[in-house]
Amino acid sequence: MIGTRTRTEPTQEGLVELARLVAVRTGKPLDAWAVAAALESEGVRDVDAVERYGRRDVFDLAGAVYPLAVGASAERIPSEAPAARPPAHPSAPRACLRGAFFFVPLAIQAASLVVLGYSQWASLDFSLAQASTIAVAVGASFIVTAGGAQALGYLGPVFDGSGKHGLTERVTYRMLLTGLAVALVVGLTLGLLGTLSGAYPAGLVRVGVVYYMLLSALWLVTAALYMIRAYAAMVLATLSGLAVAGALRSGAGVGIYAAQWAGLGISVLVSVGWAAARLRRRTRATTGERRLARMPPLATMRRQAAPYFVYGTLYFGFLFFDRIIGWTAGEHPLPVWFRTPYELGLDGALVSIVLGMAFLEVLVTALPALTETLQERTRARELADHNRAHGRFHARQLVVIGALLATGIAGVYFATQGLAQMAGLHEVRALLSDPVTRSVFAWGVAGYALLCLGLANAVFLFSLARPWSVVRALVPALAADAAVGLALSRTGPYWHSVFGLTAGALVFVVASGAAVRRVAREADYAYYASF
Amino acid sequence: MLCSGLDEVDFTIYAVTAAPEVRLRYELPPNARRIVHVPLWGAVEPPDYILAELPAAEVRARREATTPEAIESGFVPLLGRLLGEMHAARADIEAGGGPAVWLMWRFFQHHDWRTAWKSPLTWRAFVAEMGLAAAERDDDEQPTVDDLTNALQLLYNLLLPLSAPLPRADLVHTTIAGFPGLAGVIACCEHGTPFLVTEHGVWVRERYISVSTASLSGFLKRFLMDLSTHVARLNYLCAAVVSPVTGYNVRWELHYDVAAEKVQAIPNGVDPAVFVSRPKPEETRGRPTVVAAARIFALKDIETMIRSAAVARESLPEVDYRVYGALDADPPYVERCRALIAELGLEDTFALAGHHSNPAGLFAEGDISVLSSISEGFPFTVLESMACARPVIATDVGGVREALEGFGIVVPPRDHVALGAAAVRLLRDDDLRAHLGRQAREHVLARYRTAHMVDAYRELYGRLADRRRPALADREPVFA
Repeated sequence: MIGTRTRTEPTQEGLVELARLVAVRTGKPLDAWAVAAALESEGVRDVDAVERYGRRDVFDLAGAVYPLAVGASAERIPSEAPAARPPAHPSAPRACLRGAFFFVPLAIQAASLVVLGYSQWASLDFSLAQASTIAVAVGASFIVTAGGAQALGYLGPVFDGSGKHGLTERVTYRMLLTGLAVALVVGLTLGLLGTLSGAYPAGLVRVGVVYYMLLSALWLVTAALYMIRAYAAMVLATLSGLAVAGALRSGAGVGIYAAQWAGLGISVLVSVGWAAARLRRRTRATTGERRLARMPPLATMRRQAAPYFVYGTLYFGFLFFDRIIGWTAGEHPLPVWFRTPYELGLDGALVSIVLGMAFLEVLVTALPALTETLQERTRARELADHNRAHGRFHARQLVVIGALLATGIAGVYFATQGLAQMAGLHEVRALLSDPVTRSVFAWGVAGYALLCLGLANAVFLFSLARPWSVVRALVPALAADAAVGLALSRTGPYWHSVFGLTAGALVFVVASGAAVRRVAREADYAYYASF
Repeated sequence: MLCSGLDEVDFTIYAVTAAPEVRLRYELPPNARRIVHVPLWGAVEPPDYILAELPAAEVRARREATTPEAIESGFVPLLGRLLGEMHAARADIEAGGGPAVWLMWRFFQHHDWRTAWKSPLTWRAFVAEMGLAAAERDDDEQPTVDDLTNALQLLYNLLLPLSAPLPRADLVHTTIAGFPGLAGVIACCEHGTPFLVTEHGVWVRERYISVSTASLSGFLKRFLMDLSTHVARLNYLCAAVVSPVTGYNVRWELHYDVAAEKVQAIPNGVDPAVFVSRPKPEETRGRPTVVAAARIFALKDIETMIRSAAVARESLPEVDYRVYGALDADPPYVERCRALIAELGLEDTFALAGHHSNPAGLFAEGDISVLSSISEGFPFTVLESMACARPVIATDVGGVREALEGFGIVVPPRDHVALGAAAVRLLRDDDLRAHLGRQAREHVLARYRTAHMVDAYRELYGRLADRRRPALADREPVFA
């Protein structure tokens, strides 16, 4: 048995040499068996154990070497310093910039509206009936595609993370085609309802459905670009679409619909082309067994992607809910009636929170890095410290986001005040002095700021694989949005629907905050369960 | 080979693989009736691949049955028992009425794997159990939170065979005394099915080598070895016969409680009609060529082979080394090998050529073949090369000497100078090469033909199939 000595006394020098060799190969050996395995892998045989070391066999020799190897491993100076770990995530400013980058395509659209008088789907020349119809198309396209976009954003990286790019490519096409099919069914149903009910003129319905389908396609392929981190392609798609629309409209005098549809079509094509080329390239570069990767069972993918699908649908529903409630209040030529002062107020509010929203991208990368570090550094007997550190970190992030939100809101407020004071900008002054715009802006800012804090909570919950907790916080938020918005907009002015947004966001931040506290208290378990 | 050779036996292949995506490398013979696939890892939930084979109603029923009460009273005690058994003696396991893995398998025939393992009750119980054990550990083996997370996750993945349905059989035959052998352990306990363990290497020894050198914490290394050792011991305890492919491996098995009377070594065999002596193809003719068939990972010690190529090139500047084998077993190791090739300027001398579609043609490309492993059982590649009349230079590990002595050259492992010098010697001496090649093929024809191996297993299968025992609940002693 191991540790039993036989025959002649071995030379201590020979054993020490073996011990050093074992220590170099394995570090501190686990036991004498580990030493026996290491010795055999160095070519030491039973015959060598007998003839060179005076031991009965390799196991006997290992028993003698083991304590010496433990000692040698303690003395051993590492032959090389541990390699510096590459940064696990980009720096905070870089991540923040990336977060802000998502707003660039929207900013380009806004700039185009100001400079050219139209963007890819808006125009200052639209009648209220046209604007109302297209606004419905925009909102519906966001809500219908958001679930699929979020599910793709979840599933794609799951496969990418294990180098199975072929599966990423397949799941992307599958999600895009399914999303388009669903969007088409919903679009045709809405169009049919609008026409059959007589609520909308047939011509407007057709226009709305075309915008809706093109925008749905655009949001879906943009989700694919986001998933493969092709941020520049998003900007390129926007710019090329606008260029085509501009050339047709301002250059060739083509009608606004045709110009915008062509522009949207080009944006979709550029995005699809870019995404397809990138996905194909990565699939081709995949080697070995990963090339054989087969799709997991459909039920598994469905179950795993379901919370992200529901979250996306609810979240975008929440973003548009107050508008829908406000714009359906009162008697108007169309069931949903676009209100410019309300939209401007909300747009201003949205711009105010860009800084805070951009910081969420920092959280997306910092939270997993923090968890990893804490996990590796905290001894198991100090679990409570580990969990408290998660809670403290999140609280600090909320303070930072709060400060960024305050800065952004103040910046937008003073910038608009400055603009209003500038000579020659009468229209701006008129718009900003509209009491509805001012009120919607103020309450919208409060609502969006709360929503941003709620999203910070959501990032925490997502990072510990608790997507259903986010969904559970969004459901009462939507209910509060609906209840408050409907009650106040039906008993008072239409724009009181914005109070629904604020109330819903408050419910979201409170409910998601409670979920964060619960999860942080058992962050150790949440991390284990997230695998 | 075994399936094709024993065409009177119906086989169910119980395939435990690392990833869900696998490619059948061989055409299955008609008597391989069914494949039960158990992937241990994957991009998404590996247990779902097993559940996908079950009726939806049963999957639902399992989930519904896995209540917190069922976990607390049914699963958590079993987990504690498993952790205890990892350090228990055979008698203690027998006294408990059977191994925890068998009882867990029974539990998971009616309960959901993920729900039970991922329950907070399970996590808390595991943390508590490990906390108690931590008091006895050295400071450098005190677990971190990350260690506990990884340890429980390892159990979750590695024990997945306990969630799979067990095909009924007259005999279970495993080719490794590791996690895939759990099917045999369960069959032995549940139905008294005879269990045959064939070992090509010695799994425990290979685990020691790979775990000792892995980038893991002291705690995880210890945990993984405790688990591996326990699983190997269960394989041995339940086996009616342990059949190593070389007598050299028996030394390890005897140290792990395998009774000497249970051991019956059956060496591997190759088909001499497939692996025949052929002339070198046009492509390599005129250039001294060394071939190797080996997956590129640490146990094959390809780095030593690369260094030996540098030694050989000093004497034979035109020498050509070709290593055929999958490159995806250990990608970081492959990169290390590539870096070493570049560092030694061997780009025109040494090629990692990937998978070869025709193993018999592979050896014909070379004048000689090389094996540089630091751990082996009784390698097929050595026999195949010998059958092709290509002399082999191999490291003195496992049963290599048993097969090769007198018919090739055996060198110490990790000795690139000896390996390179031996290659030069054989490549320069045409007569010696031809002589050894002929002798090697004759030796294989005499002792290591597939037919010999198949006949030995046929006899063993027939003997074991008649030795069904009562189910564990009705028998004493528990183990064979």
